[in-house]
Order: sequence, then C-alpha cells, then structure tokens
Amino acid sequence: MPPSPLARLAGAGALVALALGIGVPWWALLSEATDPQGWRVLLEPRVWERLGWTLWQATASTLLALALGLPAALAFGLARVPGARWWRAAFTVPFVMPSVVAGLAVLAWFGPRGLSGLDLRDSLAIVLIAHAVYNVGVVVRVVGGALEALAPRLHEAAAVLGSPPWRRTLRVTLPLAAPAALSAATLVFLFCFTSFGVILVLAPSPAFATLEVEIYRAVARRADVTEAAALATLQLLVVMAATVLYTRAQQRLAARLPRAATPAPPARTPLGRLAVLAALSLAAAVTLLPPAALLLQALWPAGSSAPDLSAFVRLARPSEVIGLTDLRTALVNSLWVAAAATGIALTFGAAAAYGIARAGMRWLDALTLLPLATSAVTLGLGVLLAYPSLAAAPLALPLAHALLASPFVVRSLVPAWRALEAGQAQAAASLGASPWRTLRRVELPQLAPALLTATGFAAAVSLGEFGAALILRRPETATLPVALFERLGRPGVARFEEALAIAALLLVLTGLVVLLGEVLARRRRGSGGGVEF
Amino acid sequence: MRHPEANASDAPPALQVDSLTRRYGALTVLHDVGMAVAAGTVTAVLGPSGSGKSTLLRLVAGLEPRDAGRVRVAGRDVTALPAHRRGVGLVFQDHALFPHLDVRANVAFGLVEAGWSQSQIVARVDALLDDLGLAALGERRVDALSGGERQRVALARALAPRPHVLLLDEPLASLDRALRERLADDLAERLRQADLASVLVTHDLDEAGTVADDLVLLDGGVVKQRGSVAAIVDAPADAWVARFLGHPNVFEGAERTRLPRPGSGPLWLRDELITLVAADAVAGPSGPDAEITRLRHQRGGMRLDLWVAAWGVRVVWRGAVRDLPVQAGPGDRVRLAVPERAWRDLPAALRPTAHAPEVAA
Repeated sequence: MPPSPLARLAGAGALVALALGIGVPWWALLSEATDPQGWRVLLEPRVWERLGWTLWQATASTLLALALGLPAALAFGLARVPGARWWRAAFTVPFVMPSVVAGLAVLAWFGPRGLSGLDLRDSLAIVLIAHAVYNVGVVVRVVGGALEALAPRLHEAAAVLGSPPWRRTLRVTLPLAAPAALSAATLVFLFCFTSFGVILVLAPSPAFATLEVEIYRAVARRADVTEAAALATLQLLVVMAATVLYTRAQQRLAARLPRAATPAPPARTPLGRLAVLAALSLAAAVTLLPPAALLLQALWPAGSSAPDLSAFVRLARPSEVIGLTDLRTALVNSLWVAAAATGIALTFGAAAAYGIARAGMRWLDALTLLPLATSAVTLGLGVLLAYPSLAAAPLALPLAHALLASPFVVRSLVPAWRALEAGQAQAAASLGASPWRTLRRVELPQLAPALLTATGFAAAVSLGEFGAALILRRPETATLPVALFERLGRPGVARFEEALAIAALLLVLTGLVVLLGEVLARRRRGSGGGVEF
Repeated sequence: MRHPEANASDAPPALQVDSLTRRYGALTVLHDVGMAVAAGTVTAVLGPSGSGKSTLLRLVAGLEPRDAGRVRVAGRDVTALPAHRRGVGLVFQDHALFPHLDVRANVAFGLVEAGWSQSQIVARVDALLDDLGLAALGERRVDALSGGERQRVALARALAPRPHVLLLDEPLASLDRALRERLADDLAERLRQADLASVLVTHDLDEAGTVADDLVLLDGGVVKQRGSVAAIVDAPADAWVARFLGHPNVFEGAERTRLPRPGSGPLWLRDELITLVAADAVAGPSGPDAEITRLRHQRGGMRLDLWVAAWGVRVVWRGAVRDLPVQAGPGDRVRLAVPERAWRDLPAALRPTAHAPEVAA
C-alpha cells in the first residue's frame, strides 16, 4: 500500500512536536553543559564517585531483580501456568506503581515503625530492596511473556528427541530466554540507573545519591544549572549506550520467537508443579507484599490497636502547616495535570503511530522512544532551560508529562494499527472514503481498545510522575507525589502517616485508571489492548 | 476393536497401542483406542477435527498422561516412561524447530542427547541433510527457511536418532496445496525406506491415501474402522465412514425406503460403477432415467448431480468426459445403468454422529 499523505502529515507533525519537546530542551542542556564551567564539573572526583555509585547500585539491583524474577519467568517457559492471567496481573502492579509509592511501600516494611521491625533507611540494602520490588515484575513480564508463546512447545520437541527435563531446560529454555533476559536486564538497569523518587524517599543522604538525584540537588539546593546540565549529559551518554543495547536485544528477540499454534500443557510431575508454584510465589511476594504493607499501614498504622483513619481525616482538612500542600489542592492539581497530559499524549501518540504504521516512518518509531531514555528530572531541567517563560506557565507540567507518557501511547497504538488489515483502508478508499474519512470511520473505531489502554497508562504515568513535577514545581501546582514528598521531609509520626495515606491513595488511583482503561478496552471489539515494547 | 490383529511375523509390532483412554474432566477425548503398526509401514489416523487424533499422538509420545491403556514400542512397555525415554520421534504440526539453533544443530539435537560421538553425529547429520536435499542449508537459521524446508528439517530432526516409531502430526497441513501433494509422495517414500513404524495424523483422505498403508478412522475419540486403505475405501464399516471417505451416494431413512432394493438399513450406491447411457438408447442396459441438475468440473473429472425421478433421490455420478454418452448439460436427460455389485448394504452407524463429515473426496 502506498504511504498515505495524511499519515505522512501526521508523522511530520509528531516529528516537529518531538523536536520541540525533546530536541530543543536537549540542545539547551548541551549548550549549557559545554560551557567551560560545565567541563570543569565533569573533571571533579565527586562527579566520578557519583557515576561509580550509580553504575554499581544499578548493576547490583539488576542482578538481584534477575535472580528473583528469572525463576518465575522460566516457569512460564516450561509449562502452561495455571491461573496465568492472575499471575500476570500481579506482576503488572509495579508498572503502574509510582516511584514514590514504591518508596513508601518499602518504608512500610523496612522504615521506622515498619512491619519488619528493621529500620534500613539510608542503606545500600534498602536501595537494592526497593529496586527489586520495583523491577522483579518487569523481569517476569518481559522474559515470561517472550517464553510463554513458544518455549513450552519447544520443550516438548526436545523431550521427544530424548532430552530429560534438566537437559532441555539447559539446552532449549535458557538459550531461548537469553535475549529476553538481556532485554529485561537492560530495561531494569535503565530504571535503576536513573532512579530518583525511590532514592529521595529511602536513602536521602549524599552517599546514596544517583546522578539523577545529584542533578536535582544541583538545581534545587545549589541553583547551579551548569553543573546539572553537565551531569545530565554524562547520564544521557550511559543511558543511550544501554538503549542501543536494549534495541539490539529487542530486534533479536522479535526475529526468534514465532507464536506457537497450540497451547502447552501444565507441568506434569508434582515436583515440577511445586517448583513452578515456588518460583512464582517468591517473585509475587517480593512484588506484592510491600504495596500490601503500605495499604495496611495506611489504614492501620503500626502501634495502634485498631484501624485508624485519622491521617486521612487530617488530610481532608486544609493544611495548617506552612509549606505543606493540602490534599485537596494536590488532588485537583494531579487530576487536571493528568487529564491535560493524557489528552496531549493521545493526540501526539496517535499522530506518531499513524505516521509509523501507515506511512512507513520506521525511524520515527525509534525516535518516539527518546522520552523514555530521557529521565524525568533531565526533561524538567531541559524545559526549564529551553523555555524559561513556559516553565513558569501552568501548562509546562502537563506538556512534560505528555512527553513522558507518549512512548506508552505509541507502543500501544502502533502494533494495533499494524494489525489492522491494510486491505480495509483500500476497501474504504474504493468505496469513496478520503484518507481522513477512512481514519474516522474505519481505523479509529477499531483502535478504541488500544486507545483506552493507552489512556489508562498515560494517566497513571502522569499521576505518579515525580521528577519533573518536583523540578517544575511551584507552590500552587504541587501534585500528589510532591505533596507526599513534602511530608516526608517534616519531623513527626503524624506527617509520616499522612505520607503513607497519600501513597495509598495514589496507588489506588493509578491502579484504578489502568484497570478502568483495560476493562473498557476489553469490552470493545477491535485491535490492540496492551503495550508492547 | 480391543485387540489389534496379531502381526504376521513373530517379532512384536514396532508400535502397539492397547485400550488407550484419555479424559479431560468429564469429557472423554479418547476411548479404548487400539492399533498396531509394523516396522516399515505407515498408518494414517484420520478423523474430523476434534476427533482426538492429535491427543492420540501426544499420548503415544508421552507428552500427556493416559487414564487407561498401554503403549508398547518394539515389544517394550513404555507406558510408564516419560517422553524422553520412549524412543518415539514426533514431527510437530508447526514443526517446533529450535530458533536458537541452525539447521545442523536442530538435526543433531537428539543425537547429542543420545550420546553419539562428534564424528558419528557429523556423519549422520550430513547423510540426512544430503538425503533430504538440505545439504546447502546446514548453517542457515531456521527462521530463514521456506515452509517446505522447515518441514524437511523437522523430519530430519525426528529421524536422526533412529526412533522405532515416528509420529507425524499433520506434517503437511501448514503448506500450500501444490507443495503438499508433491511432498506427500516424497514423504511416503522416505517413511518406507526408513525401517520404522510411522503414524501420520491427518484430516485429509488424499494425504492418507498417498502416504499410508493402513488407516485408523477416529470419530469422537472412538475407533470407527481400521484396516488397509483399499479395504476401507472398498468396504466402509458404516454410513458415517462412507460419507467421511467422500462417497456421495449413501442413502438412509425416507430416501432409502424409496429405493428398489430389499432391506431398510443404510444403502451405498458406488458412483464409480454407474454407467451413463443416452436416454433414448434403444439397446443396452436398462435402468432409470435421470435429469442432470448440476454439472461441475473437478480435479480428475466431472461430477454430475442427477435427479432420478423413479427413485425420488438425487444421485451423484463422477467420471471422465469421455464416459458421457451425449453432450450433457443441466436439464439434459440420461439413463443410469447400475450393475448389481454397485449396491452395498451398510451397517447402521454405531452411534449417531452430530456433525457432518468435513472431508470431501
């Protein structure tokens, strides 16, 4: 099918938006960083110490997440998992859990008054634990999803060729898992390398600051934009290298695993079933226990003899403490920012996906992933530098959130759009429909499920976003994550309980929007429903 | 059907299956299935979709537990053994080639498991690749192969460890028709050369007829008929089997009672034994007149739908153009000459079959 002119126009529009949203801020950052002052910063041992720590904690976190997640992922590759839907849903929780909420969830276990009785704040251990909680689900979903499609069938093929179970796990399942594991490891490494909210909440002392935290502190505490820009450039170099690796792994993965014709049977031996259950339970426990502890602590704080909702009651009243955003303001801010960001992200994402799917703009596909590689704090800083007057405007935050959410929208729409038969557009054209009318009457109605899924994800990203919200914050525009963070910085049990309550609210809110998107998507007939990276 | 016929020689058959039964909860997908396959022969398991034929293969291969019955391979009871210790090869419908290995490594997979030495493996793989016309593709990635090539690699991989029994699950189903017909001949030859017992699952009678010596007809998990291809085509066990094999003139019920033949059971009129003569022919055999209601050109000849007013039934005739007495078209009349041996009484179906047979000739 020849590329549609309308799709080209949409793709070109998306490209311009990307250039303005990512390109110009990056240009501003680079010009600031290449200032002689910026070069000088990069030569300081302090900076290399930060880079070293950031790399080391990201590597250790990745290995831990792999160790805890791979067994569960392999379970999906060895046999059909009974109740796979529910397990998959469990491992989706971290995808919708905002980073500050993950931080609070770990505090609910290992913080002061945590359920474990251990206070691990400001330690390497708590950083690793939080990153594991946040990323084990990523490993299970990415590797398990890749294996689930075909590996059980190949496992059987190896069996009839005389291969005993442990041998075929070694010779078939593990090699098949390798590219997906590399892919997942790179993704987890990226998340941990640019970790921000989790570190600020759990390990605020300077020794545990990642580059991302350092960038924020350079701006917020030292007002040293040049240093921040230099650090951001350094961070971007590592992130780009990891992204290239990820894309490579992704391409190999796509080539290797076709879909199986028939589903695999469940594990046969009691030992096999037990192993599958144990691996899944371990990964699910790491993923789900902290958010469960958070919800429990929010409703029934440690030390009280009965459920206690006083934190929620306090939050419902206007804040009497100077400098603390009250819940009402934060909630209203969060909701309108999320609504605006989602609208912008959907418009941009649909235009980009239309160009990619219908005008063959493959390179645009790769470019739309750039916001994912640009960390939130860096993006906020770039916007601050590139558009000083806009940064003070109320629309700055929704725009930044829209950019951060746009990869999810694009990755939900592109596969759905590609799955629509090209013949449909041709049929519509032969019946006299212009490209615009075809888009309206044939394509968009069928993309409704994908759009709904994307809406849920985009809203969740915006609701939980912390880095950009913090750096672009003005007192009257603080969102829920910012209001939560403000309380963590204050002394007193009451403030901590309020922070827990806000975290619980946020968790429920993001969970609800994603669930709502999924449920509505499932009730519509059409193409898509799922974000594919 | 419980006990398969004894093998002619004293050696046990390469594959013997007795009373195999498999239930999924309350649903019985296989019931009391038995079969015996001698080395060097091919048995086709034929049945409509959902008849349990793939389940039968999976049970024989040991990929699924059975609820009752035994499986013997070369006289050895393998019922309790897991798949990897049965010495049974399986060619999957989707081929299930290992995408992380090249063609050579795929074919060598089972040889490594069997502990062959490196030089033995190289020799065996070389021979198989040569034999199957894959010699140039040894280092190729399997996702860069065509459908026919994938099928041959899957066959080579299954044959490599010299299994006693080779199971093939619709091995040609994923290929297009022309390729399927060409490969069916090729497959028949290869399976017979290899000294093993082959079981081919298919829903296509042409494929079964081309490749197999014996047929096992399955419907609803029950064996309807077993025997040589010729014997079954010549003498279907009941009306269901006759229809399933694509015989068009099977009469039951009200239609049957109008026919000028004694009895009331299902009656089969063999279309290939009917001769057509001109309706106004003075001499020649006598028979009822019929009107041509429809004429179709099919592979291998013509198919006429004939309305036989005297019997009140529709009869199908198939044959070549040269067998037509006149230039015939819809609306023209012909006379049917039906020899005595064209009529065959059939036993009533063992139990009613809910769904119409899917397979046309």
